[in-house]
Amino acid sequence: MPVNAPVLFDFIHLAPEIILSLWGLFVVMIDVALLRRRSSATRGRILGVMSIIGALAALASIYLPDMMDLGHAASNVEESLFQGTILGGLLVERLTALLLILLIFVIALSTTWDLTEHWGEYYALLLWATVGMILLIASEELLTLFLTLEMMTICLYIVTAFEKDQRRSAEGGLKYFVYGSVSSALFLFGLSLLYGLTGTTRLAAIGLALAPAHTSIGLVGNVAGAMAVLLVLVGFGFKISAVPFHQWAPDAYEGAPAPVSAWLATGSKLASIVALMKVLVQALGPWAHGVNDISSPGWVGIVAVISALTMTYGNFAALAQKNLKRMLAYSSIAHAGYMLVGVLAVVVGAGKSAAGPVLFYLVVYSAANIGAFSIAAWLYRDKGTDQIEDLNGLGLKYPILGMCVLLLMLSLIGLPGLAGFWGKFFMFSEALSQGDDRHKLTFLWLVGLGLMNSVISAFYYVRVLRAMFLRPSTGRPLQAPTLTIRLAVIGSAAVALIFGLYPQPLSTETDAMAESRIFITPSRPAELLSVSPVRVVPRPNASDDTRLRAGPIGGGPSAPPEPTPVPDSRAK
Amino acid sequence: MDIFEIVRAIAVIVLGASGTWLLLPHRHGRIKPARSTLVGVVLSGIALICLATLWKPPTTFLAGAFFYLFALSSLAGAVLTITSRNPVYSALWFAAVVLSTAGLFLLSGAQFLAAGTIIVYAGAIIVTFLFVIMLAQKEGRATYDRMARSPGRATATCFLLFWSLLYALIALKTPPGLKPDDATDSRLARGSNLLIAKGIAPNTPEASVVHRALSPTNRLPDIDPGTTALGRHVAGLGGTLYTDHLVTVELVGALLFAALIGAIAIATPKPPIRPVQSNPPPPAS
Repeated sequence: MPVNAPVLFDFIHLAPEIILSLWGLFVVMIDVALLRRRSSATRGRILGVMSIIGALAALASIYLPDMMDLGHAASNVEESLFQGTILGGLLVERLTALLLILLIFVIALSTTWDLTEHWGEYYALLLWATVGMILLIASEELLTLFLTLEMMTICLYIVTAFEKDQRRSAEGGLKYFVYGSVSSALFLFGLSLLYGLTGTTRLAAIGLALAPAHTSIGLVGNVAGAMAVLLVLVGFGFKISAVPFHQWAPDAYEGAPAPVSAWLATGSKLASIVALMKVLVQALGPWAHGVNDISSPGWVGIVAVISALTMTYGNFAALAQKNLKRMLAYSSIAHAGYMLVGVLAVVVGAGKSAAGPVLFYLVVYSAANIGAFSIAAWLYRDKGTDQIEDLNGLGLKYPILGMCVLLLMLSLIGLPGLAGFWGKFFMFSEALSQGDDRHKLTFLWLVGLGLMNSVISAFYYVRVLRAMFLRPSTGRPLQAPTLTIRLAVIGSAAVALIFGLYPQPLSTETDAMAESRIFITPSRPAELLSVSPVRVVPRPNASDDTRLRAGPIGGGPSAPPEPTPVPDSRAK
Repeated sequence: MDIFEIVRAIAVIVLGASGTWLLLPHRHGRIKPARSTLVGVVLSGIALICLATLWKPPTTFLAGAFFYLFALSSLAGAVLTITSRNPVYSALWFAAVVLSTAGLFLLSGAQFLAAGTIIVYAGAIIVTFLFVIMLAQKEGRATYDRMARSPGRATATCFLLFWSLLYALIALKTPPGLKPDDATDSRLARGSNLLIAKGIAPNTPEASVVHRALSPTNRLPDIDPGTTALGRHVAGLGGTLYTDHLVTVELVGALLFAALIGAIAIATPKPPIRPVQSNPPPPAS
């Protein structure tokens, strides 16, 4: 009986995920077995170092398939793994590496103060959340997509509530959990509608099944499709904290321990944006908009409205914040709005490299946020609070770190010469260059709004700088920062500065990543449909209706398609 | 359905509802007069007899015997679940109900559903019930054994549900001239018969959606001879799960495990007592 058994090749490509999962177990066992007589702070430090070793091992294992030089690896590397549920290739490899580097910084920040008794579980959950994020980026079908989203958020719910002697930690965790479960339920309902409408769970196959015969009419008159799109957008909107679904974010970011907030703002958002982009482009592309105008019924209009609301609300709400973490939460909401403009450009432009600027922005944004939250961790360790006014006089006392924070904040505003500027510049110019005149007006509005919002955001970012450089020091003095805080702040400021002066290497890299997989044009519709475990019954005669093309005859699990070499754009 | 059946079904509902309402304990725990109990017993008895006249016995002997065995034991278990004074016994009788229901599923050929019911209900939920009962139970009999809170509304709800069930069963009964598995019976058509039953032409968009949505695992090889499924029933399901959806299955396991670890870490109210706190560490030797 022919069976689609996964082969060793598939597992070797999953090596980072497997290593991280097992390492999490290992850390928990070491905690409860060997270190049980140690004090909490000691265990935190030892296990932190161990977790960093695990993350480094996973980082090294990304290149395992290349090192082992499997025979068919070279031609197969862009192909899907595990019968098309998981994706390999340049995009996933690079983003995995990025996530792991961010994870290392988050783990290092966690050792700043003694935030919990359960260190083993804490690190294990961070590692497992990372497994969810990596697989989320790599997932190619709806079931895996949902499960990886849950894997990521469930681990994050728990670590959000991990600081048990803090009331706000439990409160943030509970709000995150309640909002998250409701939006997951709605998301799942949307996915099931999508499955019911197309009969397959593969993203690319959904895109094919929905592909119109002649001209796209978007979602005109398609109530079930509109429902599915709305519900899917609810799920993703929660994960990236876009505006109608953002209410959890300020409380969760403020309540969570600072390293966890950093991980919420960077890793979780990065993975969700990439997954959103994949779902919208690959699966729901045919429903984007009607033929005439991008504001005709379709999800482009919805996403454009969400994007405008998100950046405006996030920035105005951030103006009123006095707590540093809460302000960063609202600022991360606003940044999600900017990134949605970039996502729209990817779809409307239908150009392969259009996703590059979004990835560039994600990299820059993640680096800056790690640095900003490490300042929050430092404040909390020494003062027990993380208000902006606690920063008073910091820049004068620690000039190097002060300069680094200055660079970070200016980069987040988007001042020329820093990486944040190039992120916004690439993304907005990509948006303006997309499409023809019919599309220009919408994008002009969005980009104009984005620029206005950047100006507004300057007010609250500068408040941090004003406190640091212009106010006299008050309250308890800050102790010297730990090495991990120094490394995080200086590292992220270096990213902002270096890629601000030389954006070329990073933008070339992100463009290559985007071209490798974000926007695939399935050239082999027949194979894509037969990969899914769906048996297609022979039909008497070929239909003239191509709107819902059925796959080949006699596909299904008994006939796995041969992986075909894809014209390979990457050179290693 | 004919009008006579409808009348009988309505009689079952009305008589059963009023009889049950009379039989329930009073809401404030006062003793009821014996006369009302008697009237309740008589009304419920008439309702049961009416219900029995609606019965159509299954045909084959062995399947029928097992059907009655499972059905009656699940009914008896349900009654005992409600009437047991000890909540622990209630939970155990509920387990009996679940096991009998799983038997009914097995008789209908739904092996996975049977196994799932046992694992989920008898394995997980009832164990949780038992833990909660043992941890939370106080001494003496609980007040809810002696009085009914709003018996009228409870009776109305239950018999409304019962009525809809009865209505569905009567309405779905195979009309004369059709065999139970007839492909043209559109009311409960199998997936493979869906196109014929609904009268969908083979080369329409609807037909291609149906074709793509019917995965091999929801086809029964003994009924649909043309299938190329991996195996029968659960074997086919397992085959699909562990080949096509291997990552998915592994992910579910990892997800549950992570949630378990997190729940333990979060739910402990106080910092765990570590050896270093409870007793001094042994001297380094």
